[in-house]
Amino acid sequence: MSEPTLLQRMWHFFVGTPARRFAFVSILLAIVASIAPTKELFSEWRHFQRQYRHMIAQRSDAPRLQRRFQSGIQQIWIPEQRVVDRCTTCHVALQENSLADSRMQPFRPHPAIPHSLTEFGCVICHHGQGAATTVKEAHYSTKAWEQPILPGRYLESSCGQCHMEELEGTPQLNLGRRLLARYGCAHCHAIAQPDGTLIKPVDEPPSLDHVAEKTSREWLYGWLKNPQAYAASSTMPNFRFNNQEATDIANFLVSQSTPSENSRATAPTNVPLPSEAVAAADGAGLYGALFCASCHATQNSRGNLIGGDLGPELTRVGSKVNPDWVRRWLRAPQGYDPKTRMPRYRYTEKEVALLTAYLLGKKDDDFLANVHLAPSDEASIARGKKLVSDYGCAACHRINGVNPPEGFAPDLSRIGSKPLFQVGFLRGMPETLPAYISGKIRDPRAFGPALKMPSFILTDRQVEALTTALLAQTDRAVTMPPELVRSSPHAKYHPGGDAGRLMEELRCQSCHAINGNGGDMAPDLTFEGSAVQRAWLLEFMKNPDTLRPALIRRMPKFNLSPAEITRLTDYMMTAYQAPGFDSQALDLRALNADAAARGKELFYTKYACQSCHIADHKKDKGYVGPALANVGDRLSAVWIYKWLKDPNALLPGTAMPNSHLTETEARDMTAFLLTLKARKKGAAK
Amino acid sequence: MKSTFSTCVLASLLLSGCAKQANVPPPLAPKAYGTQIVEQSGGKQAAGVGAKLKDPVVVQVNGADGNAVAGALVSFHGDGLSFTPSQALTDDSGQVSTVAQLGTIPGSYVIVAETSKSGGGIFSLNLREIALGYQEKVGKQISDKYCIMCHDPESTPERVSNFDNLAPPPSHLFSDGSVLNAMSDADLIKIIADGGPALGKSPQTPAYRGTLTPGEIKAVVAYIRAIADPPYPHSPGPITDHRGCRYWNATMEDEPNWLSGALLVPREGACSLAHAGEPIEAIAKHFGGSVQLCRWRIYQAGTHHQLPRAPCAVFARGAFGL
Repeated sequence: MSEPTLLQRMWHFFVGTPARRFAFVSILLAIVASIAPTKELFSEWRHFQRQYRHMIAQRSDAPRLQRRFQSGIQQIWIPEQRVVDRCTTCHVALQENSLADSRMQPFRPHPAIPHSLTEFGCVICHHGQGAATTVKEAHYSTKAWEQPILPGRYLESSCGQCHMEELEGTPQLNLGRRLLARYGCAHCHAIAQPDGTLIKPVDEPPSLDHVAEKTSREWLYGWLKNPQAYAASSTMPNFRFNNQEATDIANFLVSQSTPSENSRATAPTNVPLPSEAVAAADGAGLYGALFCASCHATQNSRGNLIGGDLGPELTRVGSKVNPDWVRRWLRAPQGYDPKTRMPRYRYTEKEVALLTAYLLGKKDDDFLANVHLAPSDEASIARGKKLVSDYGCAACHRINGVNPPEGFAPDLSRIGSKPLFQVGFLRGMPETLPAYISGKIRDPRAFGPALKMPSFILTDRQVEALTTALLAQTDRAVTMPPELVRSSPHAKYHPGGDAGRLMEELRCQSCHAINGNGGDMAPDLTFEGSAVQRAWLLEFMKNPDTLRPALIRRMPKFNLSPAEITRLTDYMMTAYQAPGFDSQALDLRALNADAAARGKELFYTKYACQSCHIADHKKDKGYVGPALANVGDRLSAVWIYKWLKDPNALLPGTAMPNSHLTETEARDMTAFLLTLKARKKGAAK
Repeated sequence: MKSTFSTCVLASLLLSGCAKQANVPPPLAPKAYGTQIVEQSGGKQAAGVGAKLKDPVVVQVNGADGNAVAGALVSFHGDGLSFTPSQALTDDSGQVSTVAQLGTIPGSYVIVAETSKSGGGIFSLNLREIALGYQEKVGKQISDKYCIMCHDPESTPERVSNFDNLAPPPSHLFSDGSVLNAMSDADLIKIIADGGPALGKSPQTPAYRGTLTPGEIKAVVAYIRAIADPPYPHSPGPITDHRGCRYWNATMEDEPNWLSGALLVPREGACSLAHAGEPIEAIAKHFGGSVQLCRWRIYQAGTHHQLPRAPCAVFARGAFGL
């Protein structure tokens, strides 16, 4: 019998007898069973908690931090918002403001925000997997998973899940939402916000029903090829049509055009157009005096746009429009396009002629220099019609014979939760939703040459803002408890009656907001009847002079007839009244000369109002608020008094601070301000 | 067989290594060298966390004669920052421009722009940029609406500055750390909430207590602290090393803790009184501090250790009630 080998000896040692066999298997089982708990002992979160304890032990405020530290897996659980967040297991110091000087993650305290962390959890704003307890699972994702952590620069999108109103802390989101409306995204895409309201486009692209009256086939061709070559500030996207396509569409648009109400109704004028030299010399003055630049921009010699963005840019308008059309348009814009925002000014025929000649002189001969189109034919028109319906032109513009397409582009109401496996990424781009959305906005055709979405001319900042606004459209936002959703008011106020029709014609709400509906360029008129004195309003309508001389944009002159002025003034004085403006509000007898003297002292010394307002043009220079030199003619006593007491109550968001005047101070100041009247000719002072 | 397999594995590993290498741009070779790197524009910008800075950062490399050097290599780096491009050769005017993207933590970031010396080594330039968190962003919005028309002398087409119309003119810009860093948070809050007269200054600064909420006023202060130049010393800025880990300077941290007690109860005083056998209450009364403070101070000064060893230690430790 030979000596047993090592293997045999080991075999015998471990499983030689039943007892040994039993012991061996038991030990093996015990080892296997202990693997799981041991792994748990070395888990990532324990490592971070150890590291944290080590870090705080060296600090001077260690006892306090140690007392507040809780070891083990931490969890924020909010069933009604479906939040199960274990982020605080590793991010242990979220509420420790004394660690603000630390940059070591995951131990930084959370920056100050208006919400409590335990009320909303983490994932609602930051995305990621709340229930995960490893770094990789919580923060990153593969295509098949849920969403990864939201990059910091898009974080404002999370505010937009509940807040539909404009917040002060989310400029990027606010800009993005404004762009969604302004660039007409919502014409093709349905974008329902979490409160159920659809984003409404505000750009109002012109109707093309009568386009042949306005411009030529050649201009349409040039415009379709590259809208920004004609007007740098245009929001019309570039569809990258080839020459043939652009010709076909231009042919179709001209062929479908019908005569407008204007061309049928307005009699041709006999005032001749002034010569180019006269137009250039006098036209600019008239253009300025009529305050066209309040709404329309032009490029100056250095290429900067000067003027407002309410109407189209006019830098090269002479290359576009037909002289007869300009005249008719200036006389009655709504006869050509009933939905235009341009008011109907009551220009004289001479003014119309001069302005027309001036505008025709603003042309760029290079724009259409190389455009020579073949004559239009039936086949080309038919191709053009097909292109127009294929590319959804009618989603934005009114076109005869083409109905606005329904559901033309994908619904974006839940784009922020689009599963990544449904997304076709481009080669080399990061496989995340923000990267996909911003890439698609930047260059849609890169995702496939057959895609119809055109290219918009946007800056990086605008693309990021749009991406932020779209990322707010998440599933979570839709299912958020309704009491958390903060809507912005959607007002549809339009003035009624005869005066209302006149105000519609003058398009007052293009610039002025009334009862929450209208533009933000000019003062809110909701309480105008309570604010001003009737005599002043009558005078102002006749000759609007601005209250704030520093502004470039000013109210244009409408050349209203005396009857129209009276009708408008009466309507505004009656309809636009604030509550609580009766004779009880202020005892006018208290506004005597003594009170005015005390008020003057308060105005100049205690409250230094002259730092923002001008009460006396000779010595005051304040340029922030409106000039008050003739406020005694302009504003009503009760308005001044109530305004001084609490400006924000009358005009939410005004820059005028509430100085908490006492009753007496407000009365005295009102008395002083009412003495500030324009000097009348011949009136004894 | 085995060797073939391992060769395959080795080859594929090598290949994958090479493939990875190919994604990193090769370092540029400088064509010229300068002796100085200076900022042209782009420093001291403020933007939201994680955002790209609005204006590009432009630096210029100059030679010994003070003229711009074309073709010098400039590289950018900085903790938490990313750059497009991160390195480039200077153009004909000796300049390099890059777009910087801030990190996700609010606070100051330092851009380090470097150009190599001809004989090895580098010249470097530090630029400070500011990342605004949520609170600072709110502060900026409020400041833009209510404050800067008087506190910023620059006019824009949309906003005419009121700075020059004021008598006396505002003493500082919001970013002027040399004035504002010396003011406490409480004073700043007070002057915003209650106006200039609250601190004995001109009433031209109106009171915003009725207009802004306390949170909004705090946000404005946070914004002022964030954009302060020179930086606000106690701002939540980084004290980190190159790995992003925090430096721990116990001396610096403990200084204020120690100083307060040390000023109130100087070591010599504590010793002499302890020698005289005074009870702790009497010592506290003498120095005008609390019993706890004096006890801690005597511990810290080491008096309770030294006294038993001292020749004139005539009293027991119990005298302190320690």
